[in-house]
Amino acid sequence: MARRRQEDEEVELNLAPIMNLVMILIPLLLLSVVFEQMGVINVSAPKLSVGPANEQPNPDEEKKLNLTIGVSVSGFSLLTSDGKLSPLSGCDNPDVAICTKKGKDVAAILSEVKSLRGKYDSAPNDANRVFIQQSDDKLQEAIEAYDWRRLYNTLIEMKQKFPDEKLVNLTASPNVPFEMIVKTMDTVRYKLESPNENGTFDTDEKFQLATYKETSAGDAPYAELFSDVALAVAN
Amino acid sequence: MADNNKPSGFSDEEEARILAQRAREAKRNKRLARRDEGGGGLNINSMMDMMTIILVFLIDSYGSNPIQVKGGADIVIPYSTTELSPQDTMQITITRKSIIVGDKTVVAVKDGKVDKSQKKGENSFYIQPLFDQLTEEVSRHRQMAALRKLEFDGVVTVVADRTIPYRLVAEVMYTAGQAQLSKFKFAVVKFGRDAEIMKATQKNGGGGG
Repeated sequence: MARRRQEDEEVELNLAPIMNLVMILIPLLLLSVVFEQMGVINVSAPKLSVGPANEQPNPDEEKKLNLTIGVSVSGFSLLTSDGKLSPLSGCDNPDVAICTKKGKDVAAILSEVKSLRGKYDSAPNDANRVFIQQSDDKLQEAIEAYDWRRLYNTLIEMKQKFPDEKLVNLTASPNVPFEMIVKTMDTVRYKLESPNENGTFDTDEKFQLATYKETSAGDAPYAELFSDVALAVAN
Repeated sequence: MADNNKPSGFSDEEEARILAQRAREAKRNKRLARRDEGGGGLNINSMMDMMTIILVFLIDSYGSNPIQVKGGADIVIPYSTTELSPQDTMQITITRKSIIVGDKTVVAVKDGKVDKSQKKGENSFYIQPLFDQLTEEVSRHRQMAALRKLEFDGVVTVVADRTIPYRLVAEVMYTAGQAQLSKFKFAVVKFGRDAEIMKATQKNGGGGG
């Protein structure tokens, strides 16, 4: 009888040790998984001197936009082949085209960011981690002080005159944080879905809630505005 | 024969032995039956399948990120709506404390500045130790590319903290340009437009209510 039972039954693998192994591996890998997806932004090398090129302009060639955006603590300045853009309405600073929002002192906010972050740098311990959070919040405040909507509106109007132009030079004051550069590149990269016929936005809220404009043309997932960024350094 | 439990034609001694044997057998059968019913043994095959799938998924996501962020709390990467994925290239990391090329710490950074003794004067963009290290790395990558019969593309990924001033980023890029690295990729944390809109909606809702 014992022999018959052995013949009938299939040999069962003992999976318990493998289970143990898997049960240990899963939490281990789960801890090391980074759920934030990393990405990259392509940029070209900085040109040290921003100024007239040495080559003589070819009269046969179509006129280029040659757009340069400058980010400073007082706002955005815009330079094209037609010269410097004069300040838009409501902006009384002659140095920039688009002022920061009224009542916001970006320079002061940025120096606060710097001092908060410096507090952690000088004493890096867990208790001081709160300063990193605070400096991040301040940095967010500085980002919100800029008038991204008007920058976008101005660029979309330029794009209508030069539909094939994708190149933009980007420069900034020495003390402008890296995050602001990234944010500027984000703003100028793709077109947004706009309720207005000419693609502009009337209110900040509509601008914030707009989705990217889908397109079937080209390789890019969305309709491109100025997606080819070259960093420059203004001396 | 009518009574199965009572063997006939045996002596009392043998009868007792047979009855004891039957009792043992019945007990054993009962035990085996209980085990087969599943009271003791769990069917772990399906669970095993599930675990294997999770394991494969985790191992896959474990090795897929070519950007290694070093520096712990000294570096907070900016958010961006970019769609491009990172590639395995040379890497320069700018933290609050130092500039790192690959795995090697090259220059100390303080308050978003490199000490002017490391540069050719206060207004220079050229960071000497960074240039030396980059030149070494570039020649190594050139050799590796030549062995694989590829052309060296001069791409470098720059991983920088959010609060690093533009001046330092430009200095690093200029120095890298001197070391024949001409194409740059800024490492960011992907934060899609949808997520941004959601954040704005929450904020506006909170402000209104």
